[in-house]
Amino acid sequence: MIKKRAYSILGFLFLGLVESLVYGLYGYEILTFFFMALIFIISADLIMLNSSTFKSMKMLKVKRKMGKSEMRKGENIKVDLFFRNESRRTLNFVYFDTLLDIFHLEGDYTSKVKIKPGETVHKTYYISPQAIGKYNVGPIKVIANDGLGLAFIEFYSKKIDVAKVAPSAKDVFTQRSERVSNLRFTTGLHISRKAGQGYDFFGIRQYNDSDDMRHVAWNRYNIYGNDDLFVKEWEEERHIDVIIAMDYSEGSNIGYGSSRLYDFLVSTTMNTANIILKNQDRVGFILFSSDHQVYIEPTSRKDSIEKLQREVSEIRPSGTFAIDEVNKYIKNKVRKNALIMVYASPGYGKFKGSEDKRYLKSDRQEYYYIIDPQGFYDTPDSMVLREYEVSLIKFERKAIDISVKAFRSFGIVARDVYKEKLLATTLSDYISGRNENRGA
Amino acid sequence: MKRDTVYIFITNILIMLPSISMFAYDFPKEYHYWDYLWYLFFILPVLKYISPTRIRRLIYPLSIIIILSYVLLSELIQLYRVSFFLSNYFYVDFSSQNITVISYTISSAVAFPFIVEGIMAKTPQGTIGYLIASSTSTIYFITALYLVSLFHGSLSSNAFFYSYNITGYLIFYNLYLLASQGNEFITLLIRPSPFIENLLTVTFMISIIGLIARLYLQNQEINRQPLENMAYPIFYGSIIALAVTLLLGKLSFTYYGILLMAIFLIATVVIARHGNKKDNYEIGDME
Repeated sequence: MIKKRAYSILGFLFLGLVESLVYGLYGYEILTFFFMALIFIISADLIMLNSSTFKSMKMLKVKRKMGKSEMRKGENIKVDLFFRNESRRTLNFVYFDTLLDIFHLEGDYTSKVKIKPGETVHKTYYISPQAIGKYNVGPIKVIANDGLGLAFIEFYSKKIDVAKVAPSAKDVFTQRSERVSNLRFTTGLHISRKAGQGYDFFGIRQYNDSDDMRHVAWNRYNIYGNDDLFVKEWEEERHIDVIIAMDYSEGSNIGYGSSRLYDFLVSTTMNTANIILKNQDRVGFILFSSDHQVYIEPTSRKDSIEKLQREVSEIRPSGTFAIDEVNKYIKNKVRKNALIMVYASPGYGKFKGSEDKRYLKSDRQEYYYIIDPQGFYDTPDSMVLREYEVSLIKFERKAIDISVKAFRSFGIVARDVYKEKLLATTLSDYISGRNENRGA
Repeated sequence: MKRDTVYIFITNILIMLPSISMFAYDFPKEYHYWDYLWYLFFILPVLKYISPTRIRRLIYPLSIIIILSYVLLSELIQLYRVSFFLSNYFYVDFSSQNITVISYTISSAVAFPFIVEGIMAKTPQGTIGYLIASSTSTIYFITALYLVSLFHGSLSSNAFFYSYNITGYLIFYNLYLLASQGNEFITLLIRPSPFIENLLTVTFMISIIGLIARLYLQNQEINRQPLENMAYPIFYGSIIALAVTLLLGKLSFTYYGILLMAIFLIATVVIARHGNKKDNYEIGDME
């Protein structure tokens, strides 16, 4: 492609040529030669790029070899690039491998290459994914330009590799805070129990007419000297089902670098799920948007978490999200009683007013968390832009507050949650929910 | 100073060398006749580059407005013989019989800011533009000076005014002939001064080298290209340009000279434009 610079240089040279013809009157033919020579040199340069260089470049062969296609977040994967010159000319070009900004790159992912006829050049670089999902690596773009830098031709290799990025092991257990630690300390002490029939002794209480005589605690008879009868109570352990539904729409695809909402939601979900599993409860997941509807059934083992890891490494957030749609989906899919926790993005999680009111309220205990956008935007260098960003976040937060109030008016336990407090809030709600046997 | 800035500065000087040399030739001959106001043209580029960035781009437009206002006021004062305590300072005149050499020297003084801007320009097209703009006024004055010497006159005599005016008339006549007849108007003054001709030949050659060097070095930042890739375009381009220039010289009295040159140039540019590869092109995978 001929650059604008070439056209403007040629334009000025033609202007100069006309001027030289006017002044040629006084014998300054050198002026005419000067402008004409430059016009012809530049034109010849462009013609040669588009003819001989183009033909030679078409004979270049490229290959990419990835260390592995399934990887974990933060892992370093080696990528080898090979270029072979099958033409008769020495080729000079610039190449780059097309990669998303979720990859940290090191090495020769872009470089200048000089390659002699028949020679093969090997370049190596390393990719380190910073977010979960399925991403394309490639195509390799090769750019050849002319000697004077006035035009270039782009070539590409069709081969595209796929990188499936699963959450890293450290994502599952790394979120720590004093509050979360306290919750973790009490883990297991609050196993859901139901007083009544069971195997474990729970306590004694005064006898009433409906009680079975078999359960009378005779050793407590007449303990206060007033012929009172007491009965033994037994308890049974009950496991609750917790289902964490995540907004996997475009709304979750916010953030930068290693701080992306969908990635954060998945890692928080896995943290929560691990604690719930330790508590001997079952946990299941839903990834929901208009494009993705993934339901992972609750299990009391780590199968569901591993399945979630596989699922999130195959897809990327897309489509739209609405609370009534997710509730409708839950109603159809989840047969048993369960504690439902819905993580919604600030974009699609807000109350719109157009929701189907029948599905606004779930028949199960549901907690609805709208994530605050703070922490998912890059801090700009400019003070003006920073102020602008702060005011935008404030505006967004106000809209979320209004939505939370609107959802609460429908009986939904809705919360506006900061990024840092999501895990602690979820666990608090889980503990209070299970203490009241809501998901059993 | 960055390496890029240094080579841009050096190559710009090479590109602007014809204008610089012509100005250097002009200036010692005419500076006696310069009005002190014309020296303000030397200050303008300096003023531009030392002024704050916010007002930097306003320097030249403001200067043009002030100069044109000054010339207009001078004309009005001279025309209507207005007299007041500052009227003596408004003496530049292009219209009345009292015209002086001072009024004409403004045209070569204007070239100075163009030369400085050409040297400081960040783009090669900008430098070429300033080269054309600055060489226009300097060549005009050089020609006028040569005609004065032919008339055995001096800059202060009427010979200068005749020379200056004849130069202008001939330029306009030549432009008219180019547009209407398609050929140049050839006079007996075809070889004005061997010194100037040699000076221009050498400096324009250096200028060509400067422009190629400028484009080549700028390209090195993006992709290092070997010199041999440039050698063929330079060789072929120069050969064709030489052939067409000689052809133009041979056919200078006829209509065909300009026609043939136009055909050559347009054909070359059309071929270059037609072969332009716009889209992405696929390259093969290695086995």
